[in-house]
Amino acid sequence: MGSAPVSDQVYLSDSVRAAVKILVVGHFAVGKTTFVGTLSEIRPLRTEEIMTQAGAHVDDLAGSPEKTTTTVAMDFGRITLNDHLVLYLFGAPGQKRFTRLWKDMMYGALGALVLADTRRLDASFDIMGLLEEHGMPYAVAVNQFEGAPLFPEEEIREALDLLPETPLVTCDAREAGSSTKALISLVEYLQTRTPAQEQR
Amino acid sequence: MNDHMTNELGWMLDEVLKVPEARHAILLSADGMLRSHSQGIGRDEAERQAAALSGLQSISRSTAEFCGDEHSPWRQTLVEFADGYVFLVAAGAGAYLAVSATQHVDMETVTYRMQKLVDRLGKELTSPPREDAAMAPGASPS
Ligand SMILES: Nc1nc2c(ncn2[C@@H]2O[C@H](COP(=O)(O)OP(=O)(O)OP(=O)(O)O)[C@@H](O)[C@H]2O)c(=O)[nH]1
Ligand SMILES: [Mg+2]
Repeated sequence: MGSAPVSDQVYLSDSVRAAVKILVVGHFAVGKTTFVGTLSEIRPLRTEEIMTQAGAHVDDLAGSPEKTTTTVAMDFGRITLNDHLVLYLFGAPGQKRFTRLWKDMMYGALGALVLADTRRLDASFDIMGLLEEHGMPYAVAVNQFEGAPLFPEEEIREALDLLPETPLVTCDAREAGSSTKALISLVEYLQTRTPAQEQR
Repeated sequence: MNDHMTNELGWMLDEVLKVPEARHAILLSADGMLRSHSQGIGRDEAERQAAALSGLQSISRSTAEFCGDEHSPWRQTLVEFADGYVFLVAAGAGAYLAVSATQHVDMETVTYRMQKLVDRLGKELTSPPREDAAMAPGASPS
């Protein structure tokens, strides 16, 4: 049997140059799997399992009572943003007991999109802390759930203690337009970072 | 990665699939990005599998303590299905080689051939840093 190099084309155009690994992170049930599934142009990798009673003690389901499954390893999908850039989206599990996998997943990633929920902004601190600890640049996207409070951008920035340059956008993880914009804001942010900031 | 390099890797995967009953081969970097795949598997599928295999490796490693010593180096992960196997081994620093096979494969032969190729081409298999000129990495390997 012959072998095909990675460069063989499916629907990636010839001019596609940069393949960039991006993390999609956020606390439990914030919509990471939904986000990757909405945006992926290929069938996404899913590792969903039905939540058990044992897990229920740990995992706060207050915000999404209809949720029956949780990600036990990772989400993965691919999105071609333009002729020059393909993003490989790696969704990390949201629950604390998976932190080790999460750290491995950071390897090779250029940046992270942090999904946040205005009903539980404080739940995002651990995630942002881990990213900062590892020097991983990130943007924040508020995944706007129905019935979740709407705050002015300044209030969210303050509540999350964001640096002035950290992008903050709002999206609906079930909808491609706003979700793509969230990724673009991250990519633009990564592109504006100076070489000095990148050498860590 | 230049064409010469890519072809070298493709040749290596051909070698592994000479084992009777072997199905597909994938070479991936430790960050879950596909580096090369055998012809019988499509690119989209190979990319998805590369991501999954990197997660499998990470999770496998985290069971070391269960095995006795949490610092014991990971060597291989074997997954068995009703009709086949997946073998995952280290392929130099920062790269992994995965081979799938039917249930009739000689397991020793596969692992032997995989190991031999990894040894022989160890240098070539080591993932070079990706060239993302526009955006330099924000994190080093953990
Ligand atoms: N209303 C609304 N519901 C959403 C949105 N995004 C996700 N959901 C729902 O919220 C629930 C949680 O979404 P998931 O995508 O599983 O969340 P997750 O972050 O992957 O969760 P874990 O992997 O378990 O941490 C699901 O029931 C989704 O249907 C959104 O933007 N709006
Ligand atoms: Mg999930």
